Parts: sequence; structure tokens; C-alpha cells
Amino acid sequence: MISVDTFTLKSPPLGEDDDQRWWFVLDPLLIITTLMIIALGAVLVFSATRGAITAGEAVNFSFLERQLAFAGVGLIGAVVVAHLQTQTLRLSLPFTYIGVLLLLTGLLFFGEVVRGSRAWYSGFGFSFQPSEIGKVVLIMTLAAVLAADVVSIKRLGLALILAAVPVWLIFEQPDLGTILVYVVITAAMIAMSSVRLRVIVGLAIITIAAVVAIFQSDLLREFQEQRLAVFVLSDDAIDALGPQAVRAAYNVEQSQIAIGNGGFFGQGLFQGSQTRSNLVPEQQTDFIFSVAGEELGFRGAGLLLGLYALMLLRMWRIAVRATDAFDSLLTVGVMAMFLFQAFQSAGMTMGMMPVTGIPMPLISYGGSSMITSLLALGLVMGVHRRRFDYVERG
Amino acid sequence: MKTNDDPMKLRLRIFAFVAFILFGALFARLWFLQGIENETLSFQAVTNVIERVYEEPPRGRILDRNGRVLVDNEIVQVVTIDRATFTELDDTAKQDLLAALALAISTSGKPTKVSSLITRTSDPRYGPFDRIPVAVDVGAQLMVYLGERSDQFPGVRVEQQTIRSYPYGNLAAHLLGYVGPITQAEQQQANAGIDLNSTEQKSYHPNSQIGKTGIEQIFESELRGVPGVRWLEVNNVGKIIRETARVAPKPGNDVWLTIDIDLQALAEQELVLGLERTREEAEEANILAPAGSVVAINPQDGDVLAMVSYPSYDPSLFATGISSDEFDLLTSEDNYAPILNRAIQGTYAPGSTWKLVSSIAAIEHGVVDELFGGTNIFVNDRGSYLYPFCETGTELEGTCAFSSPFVGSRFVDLADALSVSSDVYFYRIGGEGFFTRERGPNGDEGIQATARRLGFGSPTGLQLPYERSGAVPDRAYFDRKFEQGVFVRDGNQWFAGDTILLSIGQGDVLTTPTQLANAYATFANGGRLHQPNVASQITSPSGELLVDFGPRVHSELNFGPEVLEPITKGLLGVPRFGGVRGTAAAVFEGGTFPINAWPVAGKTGTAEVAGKADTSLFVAWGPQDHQELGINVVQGPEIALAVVMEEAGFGSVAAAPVAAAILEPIARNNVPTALTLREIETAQLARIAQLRELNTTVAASDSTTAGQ
Repeated sequence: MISVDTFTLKSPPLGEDDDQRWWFVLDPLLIITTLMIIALGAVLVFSATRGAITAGEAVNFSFLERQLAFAGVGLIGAVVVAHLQTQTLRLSLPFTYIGVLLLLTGLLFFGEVVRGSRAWYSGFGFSFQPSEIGKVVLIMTLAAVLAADVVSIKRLGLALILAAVPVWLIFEQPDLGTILVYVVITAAMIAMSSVRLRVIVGLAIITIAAVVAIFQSDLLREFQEQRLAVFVLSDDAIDALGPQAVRAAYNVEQSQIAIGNGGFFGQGLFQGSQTRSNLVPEQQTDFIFSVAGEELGFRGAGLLLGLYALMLLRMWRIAVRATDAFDSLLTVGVMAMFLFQAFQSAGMTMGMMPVTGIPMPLISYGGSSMITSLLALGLVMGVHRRRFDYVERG
Repeated sequence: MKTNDDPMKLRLRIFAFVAFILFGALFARLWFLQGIENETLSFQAVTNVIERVYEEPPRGRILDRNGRVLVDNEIVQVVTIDRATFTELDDTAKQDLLAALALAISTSGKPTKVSSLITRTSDPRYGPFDRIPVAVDVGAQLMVYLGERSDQFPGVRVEQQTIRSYPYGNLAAHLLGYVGPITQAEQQQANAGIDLNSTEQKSYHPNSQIGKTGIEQIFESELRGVPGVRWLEVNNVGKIIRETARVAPKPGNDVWLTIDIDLQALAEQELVLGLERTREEAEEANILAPAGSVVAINPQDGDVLAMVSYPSYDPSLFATGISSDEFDLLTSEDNYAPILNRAIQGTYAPGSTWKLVSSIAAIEHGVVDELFGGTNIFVNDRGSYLYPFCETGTELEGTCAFSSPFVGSRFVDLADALSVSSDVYFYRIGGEGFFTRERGPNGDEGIQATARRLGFGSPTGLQLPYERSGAVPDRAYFDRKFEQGVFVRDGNQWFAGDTILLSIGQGDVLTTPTQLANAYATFANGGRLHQPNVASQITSPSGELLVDFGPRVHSELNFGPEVLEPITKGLLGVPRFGGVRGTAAAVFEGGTFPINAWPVAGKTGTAEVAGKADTSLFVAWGPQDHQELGINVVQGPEIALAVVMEEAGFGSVAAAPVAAAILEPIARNNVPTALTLREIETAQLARIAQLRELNTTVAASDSTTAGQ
């Protein structure tokens, strides 16, 4: 029998009268929902990328294979992260944070331009997006800074500066979607920390004012503005904006048609007519929820949303029961990331949110996103595990 | 840690509440789309498909040497039926559709039978997903009518198509060739190595047109443009929702010909008139003069200036889709196969025009010196010839005696033999001269060797498809034909008679009009054999020069003065009375031709054809230096011309007058300007108006007279 030592190296051995097994430190529901979401995601990625639309065309397995490989790497990473002690995480921070900043800075010189953004390193048949892994480091950093009994203005200022530097580097790429994720993570973690309420309200007002100011100025690239504008404007106003805006409106329209076409039972896996005819863009990444909607219907897409909800619920439970503020904030950060990305990604395909390129966690095709999501979950699982360390020690 | 536990838990509850609200919103929206809006959205989803539609690019134009447009494009409206949609209809729906469509097309001014639509829609040439054109060149009204009733006419569309237009009508039809709908096999072949997803390559699609013969075929890769692509979102009743993207078609390149359309028109007109005249004046019943050909080549550079084949056809028949009945008429032997380009595909015994070849061979191989003692030695021509070494008693004994149209006795040297077309002089060159020599191209097959050097027996290599080789018979040729079972004799049974007949262009020798013109052009320029050009250059749609063919010299034959002088003298004598009466003297010097200002060297030919009247030939060039007249053409002869008329009798009677009629305006420098069909129509309307005016004047004066 595998003893718990092999799993949690620093845990004291359990007493012989203790009936608890090594898996006692795991949250089974969190793990099951994670694996189910990954499996569902792999099926959807396969459906969106398998080709074979006309008879005789070969089925393309390469996306599926790569996605499963990313998931495997991510799961191993999650297990490793889950083993780490708070101290190790904190000590690693200066190195990981500066490492991410270096990677983000390097992008501005060596990054590959994809759809107008310099967000990727590519080589050896792989692409790597540092701003993804940066999310995990940001969460750790903010958790370390904000985990104080009373968060002073100085401390809050430090947190904001530490968050602002990577955001500024990502803005240079530019990649608005990822910036939004960073902002949401930062906001949620500040709100969940012991920062005073009036400071939070003040920050919120400043943020809203800043967003309005950005929209008024020409800071945003025209393209992003148009994509956001599509969300708020009427058809005629969109036509007036020109072909790119029409294109974005068209994408959202096709995506909604696809989801509506699914109905309750769905068109059946690999049977979605919108998906088959490639009418929805980026359907293995940002728009993947439309594939779930069309092919699996309300049953499947609802199940997917339900799995996310259950996963978030488990994370919330872990956050509430966390042994210290650092662990609690870590979990809050990961929750905020999952909640926002899932909501934005699904909401965009249903016309509830503007079109921004944000992957659906554990679902969208892509190694950086998959591995980042699993490492983040590894952090949460570590938080859950450490609760038992405390219990044991206590 | 316990100190800030409570406020944090409250905040976490608020966080959970926010998450709950957000997920509630997602579920609500999902249910709205999939539960409530499902029907409307799934209707849109099922019906909207992106269709990739190819737009045929405009083909390049074909121009004459002076830039006059011979083949152009015009845009017409075409009614098409989508075969995939049509096939899915049940039988009554099909009948109803075709009946309604036939009525609609007929009402628009193009009488169309239901049966013809049925034939079209079941035409196996079109694939299951093709859109089959059923009516070409329909009016804009029909387009509107059908467009408004797309639900009543499922799968029926009116599309724009560019078709070939021919400003000069039938002129140079054979040379230009025609385009037609691409066949499956052609499409496969043409698309080999082409990426169909590329919008840069000259891909072919089921509705594409492709060059089938002539210039259209040989320069297909230049004339073809790059098809345009439109990505259309279309619903299930064929209505286009929107165009999502478009790449415009790119036109093909222009091909410039060496043809001078004025000269071409003149040559066509004179050949037709000549054939008519021959039929009318024929003294023998078997002179039908149904067909003929004229080829004109510039001896200086090998440019083909005119190329005529008769009977001809209207190439615009193919532009609007030819029926199989019409096509059968064009290919029928009973109709003398109008589709055939006789200039390069008609093979004829050259008759006496071949004496140019025999003369060159006889001088170059020393036969004249050996046999007669020189080209200026006079030889007795008694009108018939008996081969002196004839082996009597063999089954071929009869072929030892040879007759000729000449009756009497005369003395001729080489030049005179050419001028008066003495057969006996050349019989002797063939029989006693060549046949008695040892075997080989330097011996008894000297005439054949010379013929090959002049380009006979192989295609001349001009830029046209399906050019024939003709035939230069020798022992090897006999062996091949014997093996193929075509001949009853093999090469060992090549007899004296074969060489004797060959020496006057009879027997098994076959030449195309182009080969004849090119051989004479070669002699005219002193011995430079060109691969003739019909195309001179290729330009891009913007007028940029892409290819310049330039003169293509095949070989230098280096004729010495001992060859050039006596033969030229003899050929110059043909159209003149001079010392001896040339065979075409009555036509040229006896006619209106300015033979003293623009000397012509030429040769008549009358070739016997089994079971038919003789082929009438005349090959000539001009203007040629003429020492006695004191004419020295510095820039050299400007045109070599071959006229061949089938079943038309004597060369001097039928072909020579046609040649004279073509050469005379050139000599006088007043070749009439060719008129386009539109110009002809305008001129006719003007003439009618003029006549009407004249009539009223006459009528008016009549009435005045009556009044008096």
C-alpha cells in the first residue's frame, strides 16, 4: 500500500489507529470535475479540428493528440505544485516573478506576431504564451503580498505595482483579453483580502474612471475597439465601422446560430452543421463553447457549465477552509481566473460579452492555457492538502 | 489568522454570490438560445452555407500583326440549371420546371423547346454538381424575371459569362481555332500540378472554357486568365445572403499573330471566288472545286502572313455552345470537313510544283551535269518517256512508259523545263539520273534528301496543333507502309517508276500547303529555312511585352549560284511569255498583273488524284530580282504564296489566277482594308439608305416626267 509519505513528503506519518488513507488529503470532487472537463474539452477540440467534412478526407487526430499530451504534462505539473509547501512557494516568488517579466519583455523583441499580437514564442513545433503562466505567478505574488492581517496602503500599493508591471508588458503586445484576466484576478484578490472596504470602493471608482478614459482616448487599438463596439452598437452603426467590425459581428452571429441550432439534445457529436462548415471562427480555441452548444445541445453545454460551477464551489469551500490568508488568497485568485475565463468565453459565444480572445480553461485547445489552468488547480489542491498538515500539526 | 477571518468569510460569500449570478446568467442565456430561439436559429444554421463560386476570367485577346483585334470577349447573360438541385426534383416537378423555363426563355426572345432543355439537362458532359448552361445571350429582362421567382425555378440562375467574339466573322477561323466547355479529361489534365485552393493559379472548373484547336489551343496557357473566386453565403432556396469575400479574376495574356488581317481577308475572298469560278467554267464533270487553301509566308523571317482553309465555319458557333448535329456537319467528309485546317492538315501530291525540289537535287547531286552536261544544255522533250533500262517481262513492265500533257517535240534546258513544265526533262532526271545511282541519300534517294532539307516529310513547326507531316516516299517509307499493311510492296521493290514519278511530284509524295509555301520561301531568300511563325509576341493585359518569338531559323541550306540562278530564271519564266511561253503567262503577263514592275517567280502544279479531278496548285514568290528587266529588289522578296485547290484541274487554270489576284494588290500596294462585321453592316445600311434616296429621286423625276 502506498503510504501518505510518498505523496506528501513533509507530512508526519499517520497513526496506526488512524483510518485515513493517502487520498484523504485530496478533494475527490475537484479532481473528478477537472478530469471530466478535460475529457469533454478534448472531445470538443477533436470535433472542431478532425476535418473529414467530405467523404474520403482523412480524420485529423493531431490536435486531439497534442491536447491530451498538454493535459498530461499539466496534470504532472499540478501534482508537483500540490506537493509544495507555502514556504517553498513564497521563496520561489522573486525568481518566478522576475522570470515571467523577462519572458514578457523578451516577447517584445522575439515574439511571433499572431493576429496582430506579439504574445507567443514559437519554435520546435510548439508555441508558448508567457502571459498564461504569468497568471499563476501573479496569483502567487498577490497572495504573498496581500496575506497580512491588515493590508496597509503601502502594501496595497506594492500589490498594484506588482500587478501593473506585467499588465503593462502585455499591453505592449497588445493582448486585451489577457489584461482583462489579470485585472479581474487582481481585483478579486484585493477584494477578498483584508484591505479596508472604503479603500476597495475608492479603487473601484478609480478603475471605472480609468476604463472610461481609455475608451475615450485612442489608447486602445482600433481593432479591439471595434470588437468591443460590436457588442454595444446597432447593426447600422456596425456597418458604418467597416469590414472588420462586420466580420466580428458576423462571427458572434454565427456562433449564436450554432448554439441555438443545438437545441436541447444537440446535433450529435461531429454532426454540427455550423461547426462542420467552419462558419464559427477559432472554434477550437476561443469559440469552442459554440461547438459544445451545437453538437451536445443544452444537455452537454449545461453539463459543462455545471461542472465549472461544481469545480468553483469546491474551490470556494477550499478557500473558506484554508489554513491561512496566503492559501485562501491563492484559491481566490485561481477561482477568479476560472470564473472570469469561463464566463467570458462562454458569454462571448452567446453574445453576452464582447469578442476578446480568452481561452476556456481546460477546454480550449492550447498548451500554455491547459498547463497554466492545471498548475493553478495544483495550487488549490495544495491549499486543500495543507489544511490536513495543519490539522495533523494542531 | 483568526482576526480577519470573519470579514474575509463575508467577502467570500459575496464572491460566491457574484459567481452564482454569473453562472445563472450563462444558464439563462444558454436556455434562451437553445430552448426558446432554437427553431429560428436552427433554420438559419441549416440553410446558410458558404459556397465557393468561380468566376471565369476573361481570356486574352488575339490580335493581328498590326494590333487589329481578331478575337475578343463579350459578356452575355447565361441561364443555368444547377444539376444537383435539378436531380433531387421528382419527375413532374422536373417537367413543370423545364416547361416554365422554356416558356420564359422563349418569351424573352430566344425560341427554346422543352425537348432541347431535356437534352441539355441530361447531357453527360456535365458533372452532378455543375451548373448547366441552357440558354446563352438572354436579355436582362429574363434575368430579372427569373431572379424574382427563384422559388418557382429551383436551381435556375442567370449568370454572366464572357464568350469569345469574332469581329471579323469567319476570317482566319481555322487558324484562330475555337474554345469550348472543358471536358472532364481535359480538366484533369489542365489542373495537373495546380493548387485549386490558390487564387493565383490558372485553375479550371466544370464551367471553364478551354481552347480546342488553333491558336486558342496552342496558346491556352497564355490566353487563360486566373479565375476569380467569390465566397457566398447562400440559403436553401438559392438566395445569396451575402458575399463574404471575393478575389477578382485576372485576364489572360494577349497573343499577337504574324497574320495581316487585310491580306488574310484578300486571300480568303480570292480563294472562294477562284473556287466558284472554277466550278462555273469547268469543262469536265468531275471538277467540283469544293475546297482549297492559301498560305502566305514572308521569306525574310518566316512570318505567316495569311493562312486560309476552305470550306470554313463560323467560330462563334462554339462560343455559344455547339449542338452535336452542327458539330457533325463540320466534321463530315461529305461536307469536305470544314473543321479541317487544310493549310497544315491537308496533304496533297505537289505535282509540278515539286520540280523545284527535283531541280535543286539534280543540280546539287550532279545529275544534270552527268546526264545532260549542264543546266544550260537543251534536251529533247518528245512528250513521252520510256525508261531505257526497263526489265521487260516483269509484272511492272507497264510502268516503264510515261506520258505528259505535252504533245510534239521541243528542246528545253533546266530553266525552260521549269517555265514550260516539261515532264520528260524531269522523268530523265529521275529515271536515268537518280534511279541508276547507287543506293542512299547521296545516290538514288537524292531527291528525297533534298526534299527533307527543304522541310518536307515533317511538320514545319509553326505554333499550331495537329500539323501533319506529309510524306516523302523512299525505300524505308515503303517498308513501314508494307509492315502496316497499307502498301503491297516493300522497300526492296522500289522501282524506277517510283523515282520517275517522284521527280514530277506524283506517286506517293504528299505535302501540306504550308510546307510548299515554306520551301519556296526558303528558296526565295537564298536558302534559309525558317520554322514559320503564326504568333509574333505575347503581351500582358497591361500591354507589357512578355514573349517575342522573333524569326526562328531552322537551318541554312546554302544554295550556290549554280543552283539559284538557273532555277530562279526558270521560275521567273513561268508567269511570262518571254522566250518560251510560261505555264502561267496567260494569267500574269497576259492579264493585268504588273509583272514587269513586280516580277513573280512561281510554278504551276497539276497533281493527279485517284478517282477525282486533279489538284490545282500554284506556288510563287515576289518581288524577285530580274536582271533583264533591270529590277533589283534590295530588301528581298516579301511574300511566298501557295495556293492549293482540290478537284479543280490545271494549276495554270484554277490556282494561278487566284495567286495572281492575291499578289496583284500587294504588287500595286493597294490591299483593301479588311472590314469587321459591324463595319460591313454599317456600310450595307449606308448603301441601302443611299439606294433609297436614289429611288426617291428617280421616282420624283418620273412623276415630274409624267406630269409633263
